[in-house]
Amino acid sequence: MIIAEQKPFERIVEMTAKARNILVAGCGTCVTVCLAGGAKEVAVVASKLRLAAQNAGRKITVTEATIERQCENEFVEKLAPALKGVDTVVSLACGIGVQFLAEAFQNLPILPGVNTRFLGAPSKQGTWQEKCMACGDCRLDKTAGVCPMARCSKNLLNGPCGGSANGKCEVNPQKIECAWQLIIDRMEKLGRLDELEAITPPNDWSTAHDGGVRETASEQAVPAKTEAMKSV
Amino acid sequence: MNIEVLFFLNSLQVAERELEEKYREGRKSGVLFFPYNQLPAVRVADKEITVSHKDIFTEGSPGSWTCDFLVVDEKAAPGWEVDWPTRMFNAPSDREGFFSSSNPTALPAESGRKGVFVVGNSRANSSTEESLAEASAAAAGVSVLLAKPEIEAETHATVDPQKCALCLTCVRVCPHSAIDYGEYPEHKRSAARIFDAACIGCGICVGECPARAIELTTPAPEEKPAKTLVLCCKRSAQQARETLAAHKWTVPKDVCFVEVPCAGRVDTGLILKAFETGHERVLVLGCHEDACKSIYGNTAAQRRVDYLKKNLPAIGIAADRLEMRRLAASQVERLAAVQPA
Repeated sequence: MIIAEQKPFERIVEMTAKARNILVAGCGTCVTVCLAGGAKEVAVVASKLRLAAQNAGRKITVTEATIERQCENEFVEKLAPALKGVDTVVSLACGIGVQFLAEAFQNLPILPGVNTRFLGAPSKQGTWQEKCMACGDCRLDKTAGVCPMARCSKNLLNGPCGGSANGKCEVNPQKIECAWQLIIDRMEKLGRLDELEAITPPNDWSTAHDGGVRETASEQAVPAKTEAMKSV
Repeated sequence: MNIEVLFFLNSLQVAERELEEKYREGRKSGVLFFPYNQLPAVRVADKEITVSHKDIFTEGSPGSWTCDFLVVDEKAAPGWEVDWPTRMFNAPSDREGFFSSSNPTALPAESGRKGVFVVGNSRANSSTEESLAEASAAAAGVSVLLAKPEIEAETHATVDPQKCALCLTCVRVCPHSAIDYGEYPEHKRSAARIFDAACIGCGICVGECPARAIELTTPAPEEKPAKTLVLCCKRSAQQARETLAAHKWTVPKDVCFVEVPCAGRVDTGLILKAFETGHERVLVLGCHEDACKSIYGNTAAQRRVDYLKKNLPAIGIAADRLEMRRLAASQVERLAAVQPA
C-alpha cells in the first residue's frame, strides 16, 4: 500500500493563501487506510482551513468530497459536480491522485495536502514501515522474503556492511533493523544459508526509475470499449 | 539480637486483609518506612550493600544506608493464562500485562468483553481466596446474563459497509473486542462487523475510523454556541452534573454541557466542529487514568487533545482554548469549578 502523511498545516495554508473556494478531496483507498487522507481527515483539514481563514479575517468557502480512488478516471469524473464554483482543490490523495485530478481538471490548481512517503505496511497500529521500493526486478526469492533494496539503508546486494550491530542498522539503530541480519536469520531457518556465499553482481537499475519513466502493459488485457473500436 | 529493618517503597498498599495491622505492628517494633518517588540507587562493593535514597518530604540530598541483606520485592508477571484470552478475544491487558487488575469501574472478574469473565492469575496476581471470590463473582455475572432469554444490546455502533475501507483500525482499537470483519451478504462485500451484544457504545471506533464509516448517536452541541463547550463522559462528568443538578445547581452562564458516551468518542473533527460553530473554548472531561470503563478511552481522548493543542496555533486558535481534565463521578467540585472564561 502507498503510505502518505499529512503536510504540516502551515504549508497547506501557504499553498491556499489566494483561494476563495476550496474543495478538500479525499481518497478512499490507500490514504484512508493509512489514516492520512480519508473522509475523516478531509473533514479535519476542511475545518482547519475554515477556522484559519475566519481567524485571519478572510472569507472563504470550503467543501469536502471523498471518492473511491483518485487514481482512476471513472472515479475522478465523479468529482466534477463537487467542483462547481471551486477555484482550488486540496487533494489528500497520494502524488498519483493529485496528478490524476490535475490532468482531469486542467483549469484548476490541484494542491497536494499530503506527502507521499513510500510503499509499506503498518508495523503496529498508527505506524508504517517501508517494505518495497518498486525496483522492478523482485529478488525476494533469493533473500528469504526480506528486501535488501528497500530495507537495507544502502541497498546492498551483498550484505551486511560494517554498520550492522546487534541486528540494527547504523543509520538509525533505534528504528531500523538490519535487513541483512534478517535475511541471514531467515535463510538459516530455511536451511539455505550457504546460498548467500554466491556474490550478487552489481544491480541493473534500468528496471527501476533509472531507466526513465516506467510503463508496463498486460498483453492479455482486453482494451476498453472505446480503444477496442479504434484498433478494429 | 538487634536487627534494623528499613522499607523503601513507592506507595504502601494496604487494601488487603490484615495488611494495615501488619504495617502498624512493624512501626511499633521499630521498622522504618521510606516512601520514594525515585527508585533508590543500590551499590554493591566488597560484600557491602549501600542504598541511596532521596527523601520525598525533605527533598534533601540522598540518605545513604549500609546493610547486610537487601530483599527485593518479587515482580509478578502474567503467565500462560493471559495468552489465550488475549488471542481468542483480542482482549486488552493492563500495563502489567494482566486483565484490568486495578480498574475500579470493572466489576470483579469482568473483562473488557461483555460475557467474558477473567478470574485468578490472568486478572491479577491473586491469592486462592481472591480467585475463589472472583469465581463466585463471575458465576453471578453469568447468571445475570442468563436471567433473560435474550441478551439485549445496548446503544451500539453500526458500520456502513459501503464506506468501510477495511483498514482494520476499529478491529485493532476496540477495547471491548466487539469488532471483527467479514462478509455482509446483503451488500456482497466484506467490512468491519460489530457484535451488537458486546458493544457498549463507547464510540472510540467512531472517533478513530478514517472513512467515517461507523455511526453512533452523535453528541449534538446546542444550536446557539455558548462561550465554553464542555464534553462530559457519561460515566463521570455527566454523573457529577446530574448530582449537581439534583442539588439545584446554577449552571454557569455561557457554559454548555454535552454528554458523550466516553471521552474516547471525542475526536479532532468533533472538537474543530465545535470551534467552527462558535464555541470559544472546548473542555473535555474524562475519567481518571485506570478508571475508564472502556479501558483507554480517556487516554485516546488525551492523545487527540494533545495532538490538536499543538496544531491549534497554526489555525489562529490559542492552545489554551482546548483542555482535557479528569474527574470521578463523585468529584462534583471539579465540575462546579468549570467557568466560561
